[in-house]
Amino acid sequence: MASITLKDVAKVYPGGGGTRAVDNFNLEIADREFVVIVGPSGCGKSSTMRMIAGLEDITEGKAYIGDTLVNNVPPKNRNIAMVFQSYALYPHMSVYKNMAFAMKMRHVKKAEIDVRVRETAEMLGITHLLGRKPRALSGGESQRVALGRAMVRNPEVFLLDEPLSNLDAKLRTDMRAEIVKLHKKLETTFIYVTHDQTEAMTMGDRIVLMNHGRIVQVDSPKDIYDYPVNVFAAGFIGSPRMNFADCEIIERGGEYFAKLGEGGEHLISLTGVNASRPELAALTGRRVTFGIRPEHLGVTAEMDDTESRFGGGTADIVEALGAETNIYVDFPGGLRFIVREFNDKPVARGQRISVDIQPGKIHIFDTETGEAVTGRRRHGAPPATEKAAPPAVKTGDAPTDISSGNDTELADQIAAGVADAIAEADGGDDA
Amino acid sequence: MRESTRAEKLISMCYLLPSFVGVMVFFVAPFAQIIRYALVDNPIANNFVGIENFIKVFENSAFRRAAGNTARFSVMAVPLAVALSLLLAMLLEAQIPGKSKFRTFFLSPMMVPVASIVLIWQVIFDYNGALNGVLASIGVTPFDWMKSDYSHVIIVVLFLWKNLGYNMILFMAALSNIPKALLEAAAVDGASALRRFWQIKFRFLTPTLLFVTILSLINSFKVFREVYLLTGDYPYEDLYLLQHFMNNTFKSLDYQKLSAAAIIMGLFMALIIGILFIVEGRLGKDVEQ
Amino acid sequence: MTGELARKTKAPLTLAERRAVRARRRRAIRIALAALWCGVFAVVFLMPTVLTFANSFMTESEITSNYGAVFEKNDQGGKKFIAERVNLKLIPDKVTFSQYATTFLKSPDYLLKFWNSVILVLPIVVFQVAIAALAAYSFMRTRGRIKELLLFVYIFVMLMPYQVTLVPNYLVADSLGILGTRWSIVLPGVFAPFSVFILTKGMRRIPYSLIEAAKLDGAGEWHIFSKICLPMCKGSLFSVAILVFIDYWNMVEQVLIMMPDADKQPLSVFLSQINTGEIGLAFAVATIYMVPAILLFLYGEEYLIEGITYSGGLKG
Repeated sequence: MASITLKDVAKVYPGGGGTRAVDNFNLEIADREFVVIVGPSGCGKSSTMRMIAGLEDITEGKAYIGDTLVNNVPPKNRNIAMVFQSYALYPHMSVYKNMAFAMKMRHVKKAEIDVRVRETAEMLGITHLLGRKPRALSGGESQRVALGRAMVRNPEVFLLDEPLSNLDAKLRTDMRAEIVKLHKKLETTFIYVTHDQTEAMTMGDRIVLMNHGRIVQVDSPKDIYDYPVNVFAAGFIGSPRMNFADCEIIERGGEYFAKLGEGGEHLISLTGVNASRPELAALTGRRVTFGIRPEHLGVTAEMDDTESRFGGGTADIVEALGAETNIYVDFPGGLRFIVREFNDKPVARGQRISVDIQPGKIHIFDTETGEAVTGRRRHGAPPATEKAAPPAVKTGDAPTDISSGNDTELADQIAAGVADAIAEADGGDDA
Repeated sequence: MRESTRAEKLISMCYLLPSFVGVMVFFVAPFAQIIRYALVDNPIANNFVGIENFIKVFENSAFRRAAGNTARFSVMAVPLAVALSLLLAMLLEAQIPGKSKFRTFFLSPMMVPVASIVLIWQVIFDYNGALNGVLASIGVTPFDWMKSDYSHVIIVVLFLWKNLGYNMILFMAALSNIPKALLEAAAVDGASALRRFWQIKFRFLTPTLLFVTILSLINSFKVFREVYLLTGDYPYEDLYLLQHFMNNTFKSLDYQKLSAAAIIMGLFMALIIGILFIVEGRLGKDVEQ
Repeated sequence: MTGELARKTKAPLTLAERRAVRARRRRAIRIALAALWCGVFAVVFLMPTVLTFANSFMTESEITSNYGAVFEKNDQGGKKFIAERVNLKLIPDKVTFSQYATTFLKSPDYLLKFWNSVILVLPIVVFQVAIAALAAYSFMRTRGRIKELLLFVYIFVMLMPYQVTLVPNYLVADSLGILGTRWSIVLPGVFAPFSVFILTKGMRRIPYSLIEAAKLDGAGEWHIFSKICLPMCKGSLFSVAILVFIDYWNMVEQVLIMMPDADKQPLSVFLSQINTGEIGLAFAVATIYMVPAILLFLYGEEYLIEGITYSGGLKG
């Protein structure tokens, strides 16, 4: 059991033209914590894990396991176990021998090996597989054996590299829960790498969101969902992903509104939005990005005209998923939003519907930098409706969020590549 | 996405060391000596003579004959070796019963030591041999095959007998790598069998085809073994090959000629191998998934 | 067939059915033709081997009467045409083991040559494969520009014919003072790069994550090599061993140049120098000589094919 500290870690691959696969990586992982590193393909999450494992050199910076600096400690002396995406079971050894191999390499006594292998197998329900060779195992069984091989030698840290991506959907859901249970039982530090935001949301104590080799945000699943620091984080977490639209902030009668659509067809009140008045004031007249998650839009019965009304539109595509329905709605002014509706109201294709919005859930991003304006001072900060304005917080200043130390550069990248990054995030894995 | 640490590189070098030292000592390093020998008049006087030794080799009638015979043999043997082995591979593709048995049969000559079957070969192609017997019975005047213009043909047959199996396996591997879905898609689209062959199979086979061609060419330079076992040190002059020339030069211990000849042949092989690599690089990419 | 015919006469077939029947028949004919061709080729391919084998069980007198004419020399040592024809026979008049008995009991010379072959070939196979396995591991574990260049040099040397490689071999053997001894053949054989090439291809097929898993499991390089890579490459190791064996079991060129001393020469060179009057014996010896190769072939055909397939294409 150990904590892990990464200080200014960077990875540059030789022959990669100096590209920094991982850069400026600072993270403290507490003992027994379950941390999920998530991000699109090629974001550097696997490299980070492999540096922790010692499978790759750390180009710059320092890595500690516990209090020990491990930059030059070979992997076998780090007391780390890893579960590989491909499981990496030795095909010429039986399951028993696969599990015993690490202990044999460490000259553990035969009798003790036997006890521990059998205990672990019992715990995972794979005792009946011990005599089999890996090729005689199903995907789910291989997965359990891979976990067993990692568990059996009581490592201080567990690294899991996309361990579920080769399983079918149903097994994946089961194994997800099981790995979380295992973490509770083993009381060991878990680091879990995935490109799948659902896995990240459901499994981790904390999520480390990466993009282009850098950390974008480190937060609990709920906070990363509620308060994404920028457009990338907002788009990556959540499915279907957040709706974005260009907008303009205007002030009318002491109240702030977001004007959306090509001709400014939609005027959405920003009352209740998670940003201070000076913050909003600083944005008036500037191009900003408006974001709202599909689940924070809803279909209303009538064309009522309340504060929460977003507007009327035409349902273009209706995906009924049983418990929920995703409706792609075209609004005047060239807006197209997805509405995620949990009520069992039948909506037909082409039907005119009225959509309402939860104003407190609106996100505002600076279009130039990509950074979120909303949710900056969420820790004990008063709501935006407060009249007494605190000292102005200018766009571009470091947010209070603990994660980002390198915002301006990062923000540039994000502004440039938001769309790309999000498209990438939808599928694939580290090449 | 994989990279090795410095320590790993060091240990890895240790594993390579025995082989590396051996290859350098026995194959690569002596070439420095060979180049020196090729450029001087004799190893004691050590007078630099430039390319004189090379000119001497080129002007040597024995070398010319050996090179000519070797080339003639290659020109005959290589196209046949490629075409027939492809034919064999495609015959076996046709889902005939006992396919694996036939494969075993075709591959077996490769494993039979040439020395063991040379007797039978002599019995067949000798002046008093079985072939002449058959020919005589149909009224053809017998002649000594091994000492005639047909001597090449006999060696070609022996070469084919020995090498077809190996090439066939390479072709079979290539044929089995053609994506079935592609062939099925073409069949569904109404492409005829002939069209399917040229448009799909042939395209996928091209890299292997060229590889086998060049491999056969290289193998055809090694046919000395068969010729020697059949005819001994002094074959019919049509069968005097480059290796015969080298053997005789070794016997006379003419290091200058030997070195110059080795360099000439080495450069020629380098050219062929270079072509092989380029072909691999160009065509390999085309069909790799 | 008759059933099909009967059915055909009973009910007229639709167009589609008729077309299907025709297609099936065409397919059958095609397969039959292919099989026929294969049969012809098979006879041609097997003939020399089978004849050698069959002839080794004939009596000396039968051999002489069948083939005597071939090995008859005239006064000048040349061939003369004899009206009496050679008789290629598959089945001996009388099966006898007398030729084998003679080989083992009365002609120790042949057995000695056989032994010469064994003590030349076995060390080459064992050490070439062992050294190559280490080198291939190195080529698999770390890759870089220098490594790839080196592998290129290996392939280059591998593809060179004896006309070229024997010259450096000879010079080194000369300066080491081992010319004329078995070492002059064994040492270049041990370091020949063929196995390195094939084994590198085999090893590079091992998923790299397995090696990383072994590293995390606490295995050092030697254990990764011996406990993970070697067992996983069993097939390639065996196929390489077969290919190396057959190549050297057949050796001629090196022997002629490095070791002119007939006493040390292997059977592969000596077999072609049989004398008249010993033809029967020669067939028996030839058969004995091909037995290890054939057994290896029958036992390891799958591995052999794997090895050949690996040799196709030069890239790892």
